[in-house]
Amino acid sequence: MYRKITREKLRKWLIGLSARAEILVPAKMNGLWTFRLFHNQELPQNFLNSRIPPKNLFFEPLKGLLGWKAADGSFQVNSCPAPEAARVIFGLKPCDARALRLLQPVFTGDYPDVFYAGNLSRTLLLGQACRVQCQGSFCSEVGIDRQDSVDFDVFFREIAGGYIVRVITEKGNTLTGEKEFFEESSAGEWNSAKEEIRGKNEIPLFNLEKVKAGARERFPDEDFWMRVSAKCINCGICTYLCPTCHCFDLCDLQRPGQGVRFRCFDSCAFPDFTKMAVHNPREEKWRRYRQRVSHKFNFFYENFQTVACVGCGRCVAHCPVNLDLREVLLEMAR
Amino acid sequence: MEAKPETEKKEKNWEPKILAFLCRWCSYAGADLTGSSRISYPANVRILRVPCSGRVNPLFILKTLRSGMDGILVSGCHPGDCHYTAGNYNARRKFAILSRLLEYVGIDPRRVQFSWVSASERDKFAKVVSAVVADVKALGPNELFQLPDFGQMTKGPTSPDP
Amino acid sequence: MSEIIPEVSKDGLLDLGKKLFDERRVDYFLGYKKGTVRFKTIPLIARKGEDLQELWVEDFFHANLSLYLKEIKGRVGILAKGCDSRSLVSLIKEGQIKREDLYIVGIPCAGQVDPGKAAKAASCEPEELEEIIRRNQEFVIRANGQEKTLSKTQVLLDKCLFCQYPRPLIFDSLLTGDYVAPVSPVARAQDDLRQKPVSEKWAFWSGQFERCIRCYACRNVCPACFCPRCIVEENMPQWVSPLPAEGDNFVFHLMRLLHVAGTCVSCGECQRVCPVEIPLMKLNEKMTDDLRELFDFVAGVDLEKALPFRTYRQEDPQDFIR
Ligand code: SF4
Ligand code: SF4
Ligand code: SF4
Ligand code: SF4
Ligand code: SF4
Repeated sequence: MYRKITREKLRKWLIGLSARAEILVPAKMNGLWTFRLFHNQELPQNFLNSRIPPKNLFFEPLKGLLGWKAADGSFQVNSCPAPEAARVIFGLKPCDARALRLLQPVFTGDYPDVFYAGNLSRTLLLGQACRVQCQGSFCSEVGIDRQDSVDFDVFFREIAGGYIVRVITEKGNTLTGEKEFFEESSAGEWNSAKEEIRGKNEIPLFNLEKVKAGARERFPDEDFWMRVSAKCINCGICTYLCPTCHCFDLCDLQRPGQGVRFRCFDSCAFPDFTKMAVHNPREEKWRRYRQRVSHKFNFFYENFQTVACVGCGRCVAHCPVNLDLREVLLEMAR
Repeated sequence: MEAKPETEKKEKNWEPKILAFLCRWCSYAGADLTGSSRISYPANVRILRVPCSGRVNPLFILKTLRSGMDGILVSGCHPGDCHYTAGNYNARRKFAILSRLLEYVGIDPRRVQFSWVSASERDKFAKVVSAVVADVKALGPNELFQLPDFGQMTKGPTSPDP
Repeated sequence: MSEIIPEVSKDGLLDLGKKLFDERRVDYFLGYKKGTVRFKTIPLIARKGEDLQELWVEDFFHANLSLYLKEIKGRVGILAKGCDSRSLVSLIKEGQIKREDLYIVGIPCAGQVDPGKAAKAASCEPEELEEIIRRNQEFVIRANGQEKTLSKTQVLLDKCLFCQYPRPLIFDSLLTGDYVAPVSPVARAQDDLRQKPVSEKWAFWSGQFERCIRCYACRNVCPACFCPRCIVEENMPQWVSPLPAEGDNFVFHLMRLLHVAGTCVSCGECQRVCPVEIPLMKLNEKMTDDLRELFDFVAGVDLEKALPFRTYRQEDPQDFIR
């Protein structure tokens, strides 16, 4: 189903929604794009993507899980409630929405995580088509359409003065059914709103099937991994900025008579990530780098039949030593 | 709601908690002498004996602040009197930089104080402790590092713009 | 052994590197190769003469290659800008490397480009920048199909504008070429924050610390952070909690700052790589200013002078002690 809305009406619609839900929109903070609470402002037009992935709004970098208190001879443990308050996020990109869906089987599978599930079910996902290819990205190579997606509730394509809207879920249908804001549109109008992406790769960088096969074949090739990881400095940038990396650590904070247990991010780039009492299976840097690439293109694929990389390019653009994942994948595909 | 007067009362009676790192040869002995001479000083200090002021790693001070102590005192032998000859000279350099950096990031210098107290200076010890306690009382509790309410403990976009 | 000339041209560098390998004077050569992302170069870690084929020494020498000396032991040839050479001096003084193991090719540095700053000056997003071209003392910026001319102060990294040592302090040969246009140092602008009341300082820094995601890139990229096992990784007992909360980030940053005091040469790598753009250099600069003022110490410029925390003077300032 297709609808359309003008730029100004969209803003009014969001203002109306903010009475019922928390609205997050792209905004600049300290010079960086991120998703912030909506203050009825104009929606930005030149938003490419956020530096910190919106994954952090679902799987938080710092999350209280439970707390305990001891007072007057009693001891009490409370678990942190699952999030419920309704929320709307506008301006998400197709790659990041796909990432949220990729993580769903991880967090809602055998050991369901009430926080991730709660965050997903309380959020209305409003996506926006890309017009420019982000630096370092290779989303189309991993099967993402920058101009279309079904990972949202509603997907917006920008046209002069407004948007053509593709309604995907029932929740999205109800909310965009308000005649005062949205008009009906057609598949024809939707199709003609498709744009040429600026700065895109003319020829696909690699063939994903070959990468997957290469990831399996290359796994035992120590020389290969040593060579490609030589310049890596083991920082966690590529994992902390990645919309699909999801390793975490649990830790406690204690004060007299009370304490809190938290979950925070961890990274396979860190030497201590796999440290155990007598042994560390990933002591060397090349093993850790291999883990990162293999997890995304080999193990995750085996477990969930999809690669765990959405080609957003964050790790490529922000690696301090320009260790380019695209080049590694290209070599694996050979 | 009923609990409110209770907490207010609590706040009025608020007493700062102060951790004192005292070197065992001078300041700790000085504190001992102060006690045995029955000179009174505020009971807000918890004393931690260290071998030398040079043993006090600046990380101890940072971690103490982070654990919610309201104030810190580090005290050692006067320059020239160090049992290990130069421990306090080395410590003095570290503390000089540390206290300036703490001030620069917004920790009031009155929260983290330093002194030289010898084994015989029982009056000075009482005076230093009283002064530190008075300073920290004036500053109020160390609210910068309170344990947050665990339910709120989620990093999200609702945090205020800096 | 043939005589090595102290000056080497851009083209001659490849031959020099190969010669070093052939004569078995180095086991590794650290240089730069062309980046795959705009305005970046990739650190090149050459193990043999042929690897040097990829060497690219035109521009964007951001990376302080001395950081790899934490890992790569043995005899190493290395390209070093002015600030990198100060890191080398620091590391030699800290006993991490030996001067005789190094073959240093100095780059007389004309200042390094800060794309974020250039984008701001050209009022566009950093992603929209297409090209940054050095032209004499100015820069030509192309963004969104338009050209703009910007001055050095609008394009170069702040650290480069007031750099006192663009010419490497120690080297075995010096690269010649068109980058020899040393930046004339300007006085560093006073950091306004230093005059503010202490509560405003906390408001500023707690806001910054809150944003830190604890990726540790600032530590890992820092040549001065050479501990094989950092105290933040220590967990029995745990000194620094890994939570990316402002209080724990405060402990992490202050701790690191004190650990690099005396070795930090203000190379600016920590701030450059920080993915959330925390102005870490404000902290470093405060620390280096204090070291100079209190102990008359400047890091990485003097191979003889003792490190500030390895020595003391009886008359060191103590007005802060009761
Ligand atoms: S961002 Fe780059 S340097 Fe850092 S861990 Fe990832 S690949 Fe290594
Ligand atoms: S691996 Fe890199 S490109 Fe792929 S999703 Fe993660 S950050 Fe994006
Ligand atoms: S690089 Fe930036 S975000 Fe990462 S740990 Fe350092 S200050 Fe924090
Ligand atoms: S922060 Fe300190 S302990 Fe950690 S690596 Fe740096 S100098 Fe070492
Ligand atoms: S702390 Fe920053 S400026 Fe100082 S040496 Fe390390 S990376 Fe360079």
